[in-house]
Amino acid sequence: MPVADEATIARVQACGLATVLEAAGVELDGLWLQYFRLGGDLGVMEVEAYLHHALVLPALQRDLLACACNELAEGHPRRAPYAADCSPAGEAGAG
Amino acid sequence: MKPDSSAIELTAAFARIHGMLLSQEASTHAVHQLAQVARELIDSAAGAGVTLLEAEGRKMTTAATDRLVEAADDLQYEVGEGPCLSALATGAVQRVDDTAEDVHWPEWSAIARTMGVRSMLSTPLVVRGEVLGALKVYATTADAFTVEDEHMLGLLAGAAATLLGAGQATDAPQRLSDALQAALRDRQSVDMAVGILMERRDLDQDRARTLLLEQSRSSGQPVLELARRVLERGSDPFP
Amino acid sequence: MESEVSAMELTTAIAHVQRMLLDAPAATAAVARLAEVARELIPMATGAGVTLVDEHGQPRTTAATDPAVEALDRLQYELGQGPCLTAWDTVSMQRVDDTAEDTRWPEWAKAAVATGLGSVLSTPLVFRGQEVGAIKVYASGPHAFTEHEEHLLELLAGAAATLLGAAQDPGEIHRLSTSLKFALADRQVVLIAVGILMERHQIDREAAHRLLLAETRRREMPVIVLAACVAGHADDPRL
Repeated sequence: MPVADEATIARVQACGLATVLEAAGVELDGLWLQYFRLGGDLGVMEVEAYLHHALVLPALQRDLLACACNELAEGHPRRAPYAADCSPAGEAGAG
Repeated sequence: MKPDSSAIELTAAFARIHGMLLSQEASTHAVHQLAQVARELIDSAAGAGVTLLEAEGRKMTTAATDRLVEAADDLQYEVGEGPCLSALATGAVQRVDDTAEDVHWPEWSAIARTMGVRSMLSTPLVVRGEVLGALKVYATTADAFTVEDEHMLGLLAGAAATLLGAGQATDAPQRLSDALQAALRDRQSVDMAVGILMERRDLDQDRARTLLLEQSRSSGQPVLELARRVLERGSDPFP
Repeated sequence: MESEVSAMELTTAIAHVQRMLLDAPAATAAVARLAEVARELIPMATGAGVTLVDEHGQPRTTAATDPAVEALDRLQYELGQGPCLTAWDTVSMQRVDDTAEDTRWPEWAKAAVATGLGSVLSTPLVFRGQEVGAIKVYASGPHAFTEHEEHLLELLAGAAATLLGAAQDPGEIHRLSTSLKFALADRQVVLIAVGILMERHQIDREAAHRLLLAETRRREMPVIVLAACVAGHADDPRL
């Protein structure tokens, strides 16, 4: 069974994240701040690069970003996906 | 006491987030408006532009009202000479009345003329003795700019420089640097070690921190080093 | 030597950032220049004024190119009426073509006529949806300003608001440092919880962090709340 590679999963997560950020009106700086509070390690530039698919982040950092986004976008119907949501065995993270 | 630079950077990052220091986007937007004002201000100007210098002194033309301005600016960097470069370097107003006859920047003028640029006025943006960039206007006719225009542009540049210099600390990096990330990692190591000790010895946070400090004092080892040892599984540096 | 970002370092870092921003003298200098530019920029203008306000809408920093402008501005606040106040309330440009015939602000207009000012143009400075002040120009004769002048003033106001708005209120510094401290405190709680979970389940940092995230998803609670429970012992969900 083919396993999606890290880069692909990262891309899917980044796409989902960007979509929710835009839809919920969350800005990059606000996302980073929340991510920082949750224990995220990386700087704003790295996060921005990830959103633009110029950088693949480790799974934990991607999930922290997803979590940060979802907490900020509380009440919004769409959710940013976690790595576990993006494996081919499971369903792609949705609502 | 000189503040730790990583602490400054973290604070600057937060300041930017709170809109206290200009984000790149706001800065670009503001200088674009400035360029527009400059063009409207000077009747004979065909176009205007603003160049801001990056922290390391490299150029970053951030706004132009049209492509001719951009092209003429890029040209200066390509040939390594030109009125704006001189304005940036000298902190003084530079003027070209006719590119067809200019002797100060012969290479640039010759090519600029073929682009359609005949007159140019470049005013530096200076605040607290530091050159932040330059404000410039171009015209497609010779002798287009008067002393009055120079004065007006200077006035606008002065106001702009004051505002720009205030809203943007020139040494505030736009991202968390390695030093900052190292400082955060260190702090993080200590916090996680505190958690481990709390669980291992059934202590609350204060007691766990105190334990680390006391051990540090008695053993002469820095807290950070103790913390790292606690994090390495199977290793307990405490008696 | 430890490289922790301590409370002391943060305080000095914040002070450093504070010096980068507009302190009172710099703010006054900036608005004074801005007023001068406005008067020179807008054809027919004989005077100009700029006001920056605090979060309550009260004037904090003001500048005017001459006493007459200053007096008329102050009068608006005293009377509770005038084009600048209306510009502020409606967040829109206000224009008086002839103070002798204006019926909107009768008391103020009379004073304006007596002072020898016939036309007024006033627009708010808006930064990120918030009004940070206002800019206005006056002319001695009536019908001095047209759409053209309105447009110029609008452009100038836009640039100024962007640059000024970012570097203002001393209260912001306090809010910033508070926000910074809270963010660091939250992060600390999360990391302590991670340490606790590392020890409890004998897993590494990443696994512990992921466990925390997974549990917050499962319980549909915010991470920091759950982390606080884990770290606080009280209500410890025994993850």
